[in-house]
Amino acid sequence: MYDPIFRLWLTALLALVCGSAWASTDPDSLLSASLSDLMSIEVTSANKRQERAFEVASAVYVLTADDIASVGARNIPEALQYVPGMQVARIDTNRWAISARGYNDAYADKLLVMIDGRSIYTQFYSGVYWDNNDIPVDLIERIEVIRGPGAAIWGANAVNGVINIITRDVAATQGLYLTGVNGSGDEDGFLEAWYGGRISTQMLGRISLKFAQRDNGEPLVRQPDGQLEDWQQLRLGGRIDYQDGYDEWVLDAEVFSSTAEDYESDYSLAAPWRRSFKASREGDGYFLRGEWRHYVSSAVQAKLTSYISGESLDTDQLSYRSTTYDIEYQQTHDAGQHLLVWGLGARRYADTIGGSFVFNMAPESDAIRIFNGFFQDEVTLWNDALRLIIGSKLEYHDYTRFNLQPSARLSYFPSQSTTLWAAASRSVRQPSRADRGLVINTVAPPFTADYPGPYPFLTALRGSVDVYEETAKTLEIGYRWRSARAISLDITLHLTDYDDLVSSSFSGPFCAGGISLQTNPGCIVTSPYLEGHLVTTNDTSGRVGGIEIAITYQPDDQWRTDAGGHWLEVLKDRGAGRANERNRTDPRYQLFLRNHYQFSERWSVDVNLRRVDELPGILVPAYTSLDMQLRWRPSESLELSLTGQSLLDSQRPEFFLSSEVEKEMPRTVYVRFRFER
Amino acid sequence: MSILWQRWLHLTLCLSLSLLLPLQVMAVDEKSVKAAIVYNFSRFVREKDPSVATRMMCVLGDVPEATIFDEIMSAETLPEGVTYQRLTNFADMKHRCQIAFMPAALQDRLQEFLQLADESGLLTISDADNFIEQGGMVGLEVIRGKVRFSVHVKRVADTGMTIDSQLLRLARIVE
Repeated sequence: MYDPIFRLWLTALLALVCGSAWASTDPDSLLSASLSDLMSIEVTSANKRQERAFEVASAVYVLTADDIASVGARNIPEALQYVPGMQVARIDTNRWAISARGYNDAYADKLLVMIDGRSIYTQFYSGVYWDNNDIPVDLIERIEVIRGPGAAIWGANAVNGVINIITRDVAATQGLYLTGVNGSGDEDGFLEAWYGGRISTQMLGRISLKFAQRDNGEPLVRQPDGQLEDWQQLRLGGRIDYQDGYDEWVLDAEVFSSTAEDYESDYSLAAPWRRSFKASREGDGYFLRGEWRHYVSSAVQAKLTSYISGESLDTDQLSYRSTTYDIEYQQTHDAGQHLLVWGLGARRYADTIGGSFVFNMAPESDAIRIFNGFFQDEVTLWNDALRLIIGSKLEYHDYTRFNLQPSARLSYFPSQSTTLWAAASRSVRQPSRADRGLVINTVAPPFTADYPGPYPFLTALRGSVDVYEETAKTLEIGYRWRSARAISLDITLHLTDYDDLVSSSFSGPFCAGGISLQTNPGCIVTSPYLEGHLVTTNDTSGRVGGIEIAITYQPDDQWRTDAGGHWLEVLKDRGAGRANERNRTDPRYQLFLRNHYQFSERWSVDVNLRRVDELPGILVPAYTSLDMQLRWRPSESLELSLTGQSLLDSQRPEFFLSSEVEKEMPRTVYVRFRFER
Repeated sequence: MSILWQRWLHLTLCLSLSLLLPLQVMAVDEKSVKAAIVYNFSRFVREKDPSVATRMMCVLGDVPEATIFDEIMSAETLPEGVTYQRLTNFADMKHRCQIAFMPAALQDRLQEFLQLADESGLLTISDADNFIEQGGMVGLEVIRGKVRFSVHVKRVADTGMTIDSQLLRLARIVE
């Protein structure tokens, strides 16, 4: 194990050496900058983006790079913890259960997540492998979170929300940048570095790397195989931005590899029936993305994006390999009163999933094609006081054929400081490969409380090719207000009716091999075990409603407070039993309070609190989390910080997966340096 | 990853820092960047007639987007062959300036500017809306947070001025 004292010392030494050679930025350097450099500079036009966020008819929350640094986020999920309406729970060192507006799980399937327009959502189980997407956090320019359906533009699977992670342009990351973290608790350390430079008059490039190492969480019950190995990940990336007059091209690529250990459960039809063992978990992947933006005029813009990505995950019980090809075209026309956006896209996803007795997939390999087209018109009415957006996406999916996802949104601006909005939409979650073909076998031993008989009981959860899309109809209303200077308020009320939700219905018991006991009762004499089938069907529905609030108070440049939270209520639930309080796995409420105080030019402190309701369905108690961060800038190019996370508990659970060994997350303290030149 | 490799990585990164000194680009206010781009124009624009040694760069108005030029077009920073004057009276442009910049803040006087410029045969630059469509020669606009410019090549050629190919390569050419 790496000596922690040595690492702290080395980090400090690195910081001191770097700190002695800093360069300051000088506005007069603009005169000595070349024309192409000047054209690469991001200009701050007063509040254009904030204007759009204030007026938009959606429940949008934007986390800027400053916000992400303020909460001391080391990865994307940690940043999302401070977004109202998001449920973010840590399962173990590198896995998270993340959703918006309910239905959270490690395999939460109603949230669309993208990095620079590239979907990181897998068709395998309609979710995100967050451990495969641990990109360098300081490369993120902003994260736009839209709670609620974004289907009209983003398409299927954006039922409960869309997360857009946007990375910084190469022009904004010129020079050398280094950041390193070293700590206790679960944080062994990570190093992020990039270097951006000019390749030619019109071309800028950047290479980046991230190496991270983290301890695994502590199991609730001591396991016989002993401690788990650390999780380790290496990512290497590169990007080229090219501009030629009004055209911009981007070429972006990354490869990564990670290794971890976890406890897995194996089942068998003979004693000991179930055993827990240490197993390796290895992931790797890549992507290559190209983008072309063409500005025909200030009124007409076009964008063409294409990418290929692959990811794999290998555990002792599952091997998963997938490749995705995607191409999309989008055009915007600003025609005065009408802002028209339309687009076409095509995607092909192919995978091979190898299994074991516990997990297996039928068929082992499959390919899914998705074609889509969308259209949206934003109409300005009544002297700019009213804005109506109507749009729809038409999608063809190999599993479910055609689907229409329309939406209508209205914004009303009674004054410069107030926005009222309302929206109605229909969205769809396409069935995943798991819904259609995954088989999970678990065995309950004989002579237990659940199965008192003399037979072991095999439960087979089976996907079905008859599974079709889930649908949701959502109504939202929102109110935003801001004072002349310091305060802003954002409230959203939402109500969603879900239909055809995927769940399982039990049939059985059968004798071994699926022989019916009813028609063949004698089979019980010779059957070595009994079995039951949980068949995946679309026979549940539900209604969920809630309120989300965000407040910002910033009286001056030194102090800023962000507070927010949500209340979520399952109003109706036919079939899955989620309305039953005992089964609840989403917190009914969540609150957060973030404070940033800039003492001086060089010193600042952040104090962040979160309160999360209990999850009675998986026996996770409610908790309050306190994170604190002290930051010091000894020079323009160097920052040192000390961060403590989960300071109120030495360790605590946030989420348990019933099929796995339960883990708790420890209190973490780490030091960090950031250097740029 | 072995302990030795990690220590080596730390040390190597530390030593290599001092060797790298590229320009660091950051977000700056719009009028400063536009002013710097117009300043560059004055360097890359020449009279076709080689006997004309100097060119007068004029900036119109009293608004902050114009007065910023007083700071950057000082005696120490003026490009070779360029003289500078800021005018509040548009009519003073005639027969005095070879290049003139009108900021978008004076958009309502655009037609007056273009007419006077046309009568004088001078090269016009502005960030006013639809500048080229209205008859201008070099238009600046902000696209996705970055400043871009368009050049109406024929109108520029009619003034007897030439623009360096380095600059034209970065422009959107309008025929």
